[in-house]
Amino acid sequence: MRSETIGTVAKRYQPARFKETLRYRPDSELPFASATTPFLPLLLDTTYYLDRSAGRLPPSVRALISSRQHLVYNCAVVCAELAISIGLLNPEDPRTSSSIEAIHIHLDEMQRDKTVAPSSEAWTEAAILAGILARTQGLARPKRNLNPDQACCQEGRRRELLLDALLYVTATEQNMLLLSGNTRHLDLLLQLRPSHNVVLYRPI
Amino acid sequence: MLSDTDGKLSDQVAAMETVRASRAGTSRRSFRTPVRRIPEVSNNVVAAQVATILRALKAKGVLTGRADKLSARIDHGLLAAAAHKLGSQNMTEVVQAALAAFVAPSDPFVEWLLSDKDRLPADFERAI
Repeated sequence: MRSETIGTVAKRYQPARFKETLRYRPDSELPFASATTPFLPLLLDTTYYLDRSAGRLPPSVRALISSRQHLVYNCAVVCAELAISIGLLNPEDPRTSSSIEAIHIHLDEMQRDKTVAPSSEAWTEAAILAGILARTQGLARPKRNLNPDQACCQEGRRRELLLDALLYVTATEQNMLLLSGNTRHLDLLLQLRPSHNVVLYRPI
Repeated sequence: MLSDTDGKLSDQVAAMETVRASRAGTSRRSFRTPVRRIPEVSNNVVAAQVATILRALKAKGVLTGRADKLSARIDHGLLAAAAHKLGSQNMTEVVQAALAAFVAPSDPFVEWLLSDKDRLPADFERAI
């Protein structure tokens, strides 16, 4: 008997149901860190590392991290979002070596057995979510109507959505709690695919 | 099922991880879960946490691989609460988990995350 195919995952969604542009919701409707935050392992978004470095993490997030001893995980998506700069930064720039060293230190802190990666099903589901959002949020303009810069920008913004969706779907797949400061994209993703697997914060 | 050999400890850790993995595998069933539904404290999460602590204690050499049999009088309510939290009625597992939690080393990754050490440069830009 044939095992379940990736197509089964793809068929869970009915993209045609989503026709209107999704609106951002007020904070009161979003899952910000609170006393009722589900007790699940945490999965860190790249925003956590950026806001940590900038000293912009709110106390509620620090308390949340502190309460999850031995239950804080990383995602391969975040590793990639940090690691790309190792290859990208200009070797001639005097600031590059210290930046690369800092990234290496971050990656050195991420234990392999505390790092999860999206499955093929997660990639597929994330792609469908990103596709729906790209369409509903005005990123589905035909290339022929765009100049090269606009086309490039549209593709880049679609990839941003894909990576954010990938991180989110990985959190749902692993039943973890994605800790993110990316309130806007996660608000949209939660509207498409509701779950209890996200906790948000606003940087201070 | 105290860890009287390395093998048995590994089995216990593996069993706890299997529980967690099976939980992850069934997460798709909650696909239509309403937003903001707050799940109960997951026993599987606690089991995973205990498994990680046991691994850390093993790495630190705290676990010896030998087991002592003990007889103790412990408040019934306390035992019941610990058993409920762990999701196990096996008193050996419950007592071992409670003792492990009591002597658990702090998580070095969490300590690092909460520290001011090793920040990315102020002008660091997210590339993608």
